[in-house]
Amino acid sequence: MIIVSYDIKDDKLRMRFAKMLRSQGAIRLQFSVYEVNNTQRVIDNIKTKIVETYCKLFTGVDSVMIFNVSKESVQKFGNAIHRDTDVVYF
Amino acid sequence: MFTSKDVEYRSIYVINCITDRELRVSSGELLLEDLQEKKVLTKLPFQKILALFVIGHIHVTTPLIEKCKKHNVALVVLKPSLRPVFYWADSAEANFLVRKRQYEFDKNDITIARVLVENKIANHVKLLQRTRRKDALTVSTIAACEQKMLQARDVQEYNTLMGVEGSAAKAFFATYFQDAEWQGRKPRVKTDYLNATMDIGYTFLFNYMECFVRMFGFDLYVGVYHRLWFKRKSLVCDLMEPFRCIIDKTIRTAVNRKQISEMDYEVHKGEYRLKRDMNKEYSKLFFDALVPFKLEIFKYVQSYYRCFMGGKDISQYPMFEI
Repeated sequence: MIIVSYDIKDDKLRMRFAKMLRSQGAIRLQFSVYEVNNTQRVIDNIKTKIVETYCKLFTGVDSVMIFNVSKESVQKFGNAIHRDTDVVYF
Repeated sequence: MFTSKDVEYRSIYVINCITDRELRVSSGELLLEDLQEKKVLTKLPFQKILALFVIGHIHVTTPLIEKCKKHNVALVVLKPSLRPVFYWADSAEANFLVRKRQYEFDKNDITIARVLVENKIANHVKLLQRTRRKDALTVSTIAACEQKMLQARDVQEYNTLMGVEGSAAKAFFATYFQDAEWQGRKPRVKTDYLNATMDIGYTFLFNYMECFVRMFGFDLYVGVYHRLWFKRKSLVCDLMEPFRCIIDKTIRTAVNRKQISEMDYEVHKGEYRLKRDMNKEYSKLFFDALVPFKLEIFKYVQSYYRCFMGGKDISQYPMFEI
């Protein structure tokens, strides 16, 4: 699983980036933080797209960070604890 | 179409909307708000939702339906009394091939029905064996059920198969619930709390199964065992047969642990009705029992779909073992 966190100043570019992530099956965790739980091929596709399409459009204030994590190592608080349990009751 | 990974990583959300609560879409996510306390209870991404079970009152809005449709989220609405009133899912309706196969299937062909009945009776036997009771009634019922199971394999007539299933079930219930003043299975009339609880449990199981069966585009009203009947989802009734044992086991355990009792019900015109403040306990009881089998049920239905579409030999049809 990877977590993609970005900080992009330009609104249009940020939206395009978010749309690209969502089209690859990324799930939004928080503002500008997405989780991708998919095959290695899809994860490599995302990384390739970021490098080839978006990196050249970034300015000095923009950044993207990708973390490789395992599901078990992620600690959750708040409503995030509702996301990975099989059934949740309210 | 769903894959097992989708089912594995998505969750079921059971929302009690009997008091003032609202579901709405905000920033592309599902927001659950408490209107009385004016606070947000949770925020969920639609991609993580397998099904939404709403107990009580809900405003269904266009953005909610749009998001459910886009992310294949099933929406089941139940009354506070846990009677289902609305089911919506964006099923794989375009799968005309499976429907064509269903309509071409010979109505008098009971080969698949035999597998379902045999599976059901096999699970009866398993449950009785797991009670580890050695009294004469249990021992004789296990033997009788095993004999019925073998009989089900060779039955040629539909009515005979129904008779075999019925007699096995009658013996099973009388033995399995012998400590709970069992008076006989009387579906839908709710003459005692056990039958009423079983109705509730089987309804949860039915809706749960429907979520999975719809994923493959089946015509739910055309079954292989239950005959065509106006507004009856016969295929769902068929495929839930082997899984009824989950509900039976849950109820027996809950009765033994005194988690459920006659005091949870009020009698209205001779019918046992669950008290409203017990909704949460009962829905939690049955969902906690069903959810561990989420992946197994999905793989069972997937396997059934593949066998049915491929016209595979009966020996390859899936069997569920509790």
